Parts: sequence; C-alpha cells; structure tokens
Amino acid sequence: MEVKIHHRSRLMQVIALILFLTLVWAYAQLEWNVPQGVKRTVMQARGTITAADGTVLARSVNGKRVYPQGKLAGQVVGLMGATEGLEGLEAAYNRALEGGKNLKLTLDPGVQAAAEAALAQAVPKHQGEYGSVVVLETRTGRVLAAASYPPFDPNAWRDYSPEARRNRPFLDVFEPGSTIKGLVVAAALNEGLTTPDTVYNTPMRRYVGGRWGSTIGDAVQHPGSLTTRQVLQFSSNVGMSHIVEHFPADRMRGYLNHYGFGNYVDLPTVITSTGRLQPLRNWDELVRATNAFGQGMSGTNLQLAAAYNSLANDGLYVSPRLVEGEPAGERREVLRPETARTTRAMLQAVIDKQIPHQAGIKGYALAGKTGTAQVASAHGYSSNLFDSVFAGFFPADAPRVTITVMVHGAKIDYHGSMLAAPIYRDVASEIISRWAAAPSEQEQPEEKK
Amino acid sequence: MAPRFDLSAATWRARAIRYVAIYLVLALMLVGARLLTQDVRPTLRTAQDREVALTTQRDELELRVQALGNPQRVRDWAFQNGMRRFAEAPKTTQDLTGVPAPAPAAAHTTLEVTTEWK
Repeated sequence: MEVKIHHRSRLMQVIALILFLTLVWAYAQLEWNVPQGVKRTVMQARGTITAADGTVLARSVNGKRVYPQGKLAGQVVGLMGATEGLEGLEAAYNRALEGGKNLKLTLDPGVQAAAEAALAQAVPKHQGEYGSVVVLETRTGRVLAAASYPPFDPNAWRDYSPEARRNRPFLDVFEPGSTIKGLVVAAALNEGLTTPDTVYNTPMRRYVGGRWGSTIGDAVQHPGSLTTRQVLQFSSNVGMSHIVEHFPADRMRGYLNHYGFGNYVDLPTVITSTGRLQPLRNWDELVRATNAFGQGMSGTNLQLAAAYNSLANDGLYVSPRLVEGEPAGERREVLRPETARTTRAMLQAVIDKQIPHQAGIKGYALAGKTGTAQVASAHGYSSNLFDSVFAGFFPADAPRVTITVMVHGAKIDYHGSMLAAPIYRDVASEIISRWAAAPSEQEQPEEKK
Repeated sequence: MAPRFDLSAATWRARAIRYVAIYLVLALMLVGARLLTQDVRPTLRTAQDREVALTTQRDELELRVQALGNPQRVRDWAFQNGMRRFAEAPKTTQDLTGVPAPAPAAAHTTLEVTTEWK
C-alpha cells in the first residue's frame, strides 16, 4: 500500500513539473518575441509609403517591413519596431498605416537624391557634424526634398545612432543668421521704411542699444556707405541695424511671425519643432538689431524654407505639405507682390555680384542669401562652432522652387558662401537640368566666344 | 376503409435486396469518382505551394527592381560614366542654315464689314 502511494506522488510530481515548464516556455515565448502569427498579419496588412512619382519608400513583404530605397529619405520615412512605427512617418501615421491606408508623399525622389548627395559630398569635406536641405515647390508649398546628413537606412536601424535617425530639417532648431536679412529687408520695404537705393552710413563697427547695448560689427570689408541693395550684398550687420532703426518692435516681430518664425508649422500629423522669437516685452533696440541679422531668434530649416518661399511666391506664405491628400495648411499674405519682386531682384544681385561661382549657374537667374551663424550656447556665442546657412530660390523672376541649406559645425571653410552656397548650387543645377530649362538669352553671346 | 399494406416477408426481402444494390452502386460510383479525381487534391496543393513561392519570388523581384531603380544609385552610376548636368554644360547657339526661312505671311490689312439691315 505504501509503495503504491509513493509511486503515485512521484508521478504527480513529474506531471506538475512538466506543466510548470510548459508555463515557463509559453511565458518566454511572449517575453522574447511576439507570437509570429500576430506580428506577421499586423505587418502584412500595413500600408505602403510612396513618393510623389510612385517610388516605393516603405512596404510589407512576407510579413516584414522593408524600405526598398534604403537610405533615400530614411529619416523622413522613419522606422518600425516589432509591430508599430517608432520614428518618422511610420510613427506619425502609425494608425492610418495599420489600418491598411497607403501614404503618398510629395517628395520627388530625384530631387531628394540630389540633395542627399550634395550634403554627403560637402559635409565630410568641410568636416561638418550634420546638415540638412529642404526643397519646396513655390506655388504649393509641397516638400520636394527633406534631406538629412548623416544618412540613415531604416532597413538596418539598429546599426545607427539615434542622431542619425533625426529628421533634421524638421526638428533641428538653429539661428538663421544673415539669411534673415533678405526677409527683414523685404519687411522694411513693405512698410515703406527703406528703398533699394536708400544710402546708409556704414562703418565696420557700431554701438547699438543705449545703456545695455553692445557693439555690432561686420565680417566682410565694405565701403563706408552702402545702399540697401549693397547692405544685402556685403551682408552688413551695421547696415541692417540702420534699416530697422525706425521699425516698430511689434511690427517687425509681427512680420517674422508671419514668415512663420516662432509659430507651429501647419503640417498635419508630422512632428516638427518651432524655434523661438523673443517675447515682445524683451524687444529693445539691441534685440531689434540682432534679430535683423538673425541672432537671438531661431527656427528649423523647414521654417526658413517656408519663409523664403513667401518671397518667391509673391509675398504669399503657404504652409509646407508633405503628405498628399492632407488638407492644405494656412495661407496668408505677408508682403505685397511688388515688394516680393523687388526683394527677389536684390537677392539675385547678391548671387550675381558677390558669389556667382559659389551659388550661381551661368545662364540662369538664381537668387539667395548666405548666412554664417555662430552657435549660441549657455556661455554665449561660440567662437569656433558655426552654422553655415543658405536660402534661395529660382528662377529669380518667376520662382518655381525654394531651397534652404544648413550645415552645422564645419571646421574648414565654414562660411555660408563656401559651404552652404555650393550645396544650393548643386541641388539647383540638378533641378534645372531635369527641367532642361533653356539658359537666358543675354548670356548666350558670351558663350559663343 | 383502412389501407392494406403488403407486409409479407417476400416483399421485405425484395426491398432489402434492391436497397442494398442501390447502396452498393452509389458507393461504387463514389469510390469511382474519388478514384478518377484522386489527383485533384495533390495538384491543388502543389499549385497552392507554387502560388506562394511565385508570390514570394515576385515580391522579392519587385523589391530588387525597386532597390535597383534607387535614384541615388542611378545618379552615381551616371556620374561615374561621365554624365554632365545640362545646367552646367557649356551651351552654344547657332543660326539655322540650309533650310531657308519661310517668307512671313502677308499681313491682312483690309477689313471687310457687311451690314445687314433688318
């Protein structure tokens, strides 16, 4: 009798052990990976992401999420975790994609590739840390390219650092530096505070701002008096301080705000940064002067592009768009059309007169403005860390495309005209070549020689 | 008047034989049909397997085409093989020769007006 009970208890022990182990095994399955079947169906039903011309940027194949274009627009598209999007559009539109909806973007793969290639060539050469390019279609505000450097391949996202995944043109905030001059001069023209030929007394240095003021100085050597046109050409901070001298603070801040600085970008669902404008109560003479050359304020490359796009678009600000079929964002008139036209001619002269080789293409009317901004840190402006910036559009008389470039932390030839301008030129050249646009007539006799 | 049923043993036997015969014939037909169509299911199975394989292959080929058509690759290849951008290429102009320009059409200088009175 006793032996029998002994056997039985052994048997029960073994059964209990087996049951327990099954439980452990099942739990481990859940813990290490989601049951394969669930993951597979979730992935398989997920919508695709395509560019404007139908090029597939993300799709599901055999229960796996793949990105056939690899690094092309990697940061914009983002990446997938086990069952849901973690970054970029995969995260922003996770709900819609999960529901099997397809996303069609406004990106033009050719332009995007050109922008990424231009960054990949220039940034390492100048030992820069990172950079970004935005290309907008002028009339509609459609984003044709949003490129970031260093590149990122979502197929192998685990191999990249979180910095590489950053969609820089939408997220990185920086001080736009001298590129803002084009916008501020346009605002001053619009207010009737200046004309292209108004002459200003411009020493190389000037004290601004009364008791708590500071001395501002110019980097480029220039004559002792400059017209507004020349203030842009020589990128004179002193000249800008004169131009905005009688600009009421609320009006000038209002213009910057209308250009989109310090505002949310009206771009549905996609995550963007805002940057900042100083609150109006802080606006004294010095703040007004520094804002006139792009210090003490900040924005993203996307905001800078949208702001310059309003110059290109006859003074009408259109919100950028990235996903087709989303409601068009806000539109507002910032400048009168004739003001925008005058400013465009002045910005064309900046390239033609000062940097024809760095930013210009023979036979084509390109317009734009460089910027070299010292990077602000907790201890004031750094003396060896720069943002090289360029903002421009073309054709200057009737723009179709706006391009902005930003490269951070370059060590060699970090000036906007040496680094950002050639990137702009490169992308512009590629776009014009794709249009196969005929060069302007005036240039042709020269070519004949 | 109650109906009269034929419940004799002979009748039952005949019925039993008839029904068993019918059953056997039906069973035989079924087996025959199954015999004749025995390859349908394996064929279907292999066809399904092939479909899956082909779908996978198609997806993979599509992916390869999409990856090979990557504008970055195409661009790099083109530059390596000496592509020059149209915008940067030197351009020359020349007047068209050989074909004489057509004489400009004579301008209409006269104007005819017809007035109709009602």
